[in-house]
Amino acid sequence: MTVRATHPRRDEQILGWLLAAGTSVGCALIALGLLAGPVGSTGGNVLHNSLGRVGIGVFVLLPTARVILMLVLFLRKREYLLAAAAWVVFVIIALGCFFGALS
Amino acid sequence: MVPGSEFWLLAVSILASALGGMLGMASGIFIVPILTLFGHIGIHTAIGASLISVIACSCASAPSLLNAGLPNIRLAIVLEVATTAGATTGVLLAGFIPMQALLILFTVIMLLSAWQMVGRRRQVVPVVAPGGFWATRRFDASYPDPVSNAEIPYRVDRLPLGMAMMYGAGVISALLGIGSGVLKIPAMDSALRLPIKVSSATSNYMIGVTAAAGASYSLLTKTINADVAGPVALGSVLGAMLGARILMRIDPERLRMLFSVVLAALAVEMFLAAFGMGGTRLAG
Repeated sequence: MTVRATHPRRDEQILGWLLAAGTSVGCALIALGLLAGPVGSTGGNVLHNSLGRVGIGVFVLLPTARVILMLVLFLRKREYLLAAAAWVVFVIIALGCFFGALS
Repeated sequence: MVPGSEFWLLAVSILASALGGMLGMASGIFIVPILTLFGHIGIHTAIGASLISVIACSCASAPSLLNAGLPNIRLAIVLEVATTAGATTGVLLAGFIPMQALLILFTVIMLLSAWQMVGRRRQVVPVVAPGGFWATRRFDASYPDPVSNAEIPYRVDRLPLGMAMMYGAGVISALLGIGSGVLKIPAMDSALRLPIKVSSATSNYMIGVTAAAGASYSLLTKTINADVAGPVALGSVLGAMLGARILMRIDPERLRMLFSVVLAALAVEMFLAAFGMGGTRLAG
């Protein structure tokens, strides 16, 4: 049985937008950090180190932001089982951070 | 370029990720051996950098897959419960596993990936499952077929088996800094019986969250070296884009044969390095 295609759906579009925007920001920060490195001055080195670290931070946080967005989208649609799954994923990631901060 | 310098890292990551992109797989399986064997970077630093590159590649490729309507996001969030739990277990275990054991495990995964690359993925014919909680068809969906411009419906079967395999994939992903396609592909194709296009897209969509569970722990324990991970992540995104473009112009079957041989050779070199033999010496 086939039905007419209706893609992309609204939820997928929102998630795609978040991931595309986050990837662009992360890449731009790391690229700017790399370009600041060869400047050689103290300011250039500070920029180089901090921009690179923030860029990596953006990449680590981006999938977590995607999970939170999915939680909101599922709650709005009253899909409570899937919202609970998103909440559990978020808690597991937070637990990993907690263990990391402890050690 | 000096091995280990930022521009060397950027160049090899573009190359490794382009190879991965051409083969439709994550680049971690190439990046970790290249960094450890040729860049003389410690395996834990290489794994940390690779985790960031896996996240970057997954996030970069997800928007186009989502716009095409291929990933099953409802199923993905449930499977991510298992993969993130596995990844958290993996990072907690990583501190207790000696470097030699990690290298041997990596060798096994590389050989399995090479073998998987040579074999063709077969579409498993869905079987109508009996009733029960997991057969309520709550994850059944459809994907668009660009040829007929129609929605092709499919069923999701054997979710508990799929989740158990996904837990294992999460452990391996965090331990070795790879996307674990070697476990995810059989879990999705054979256990859940998803169509190949849906299984590839859903796996790719999930890889970022799985790696983030391991990477957030590693970031806080300072296992991730920004000077290595930054250029590797940027190079991986650029390489994945390049690989996807090249993929449209070449015959992927010949490429698979060639790269399975490359992967097997890297696996042998890594195995020898684990025992202090071969042409390369590893950093601690």
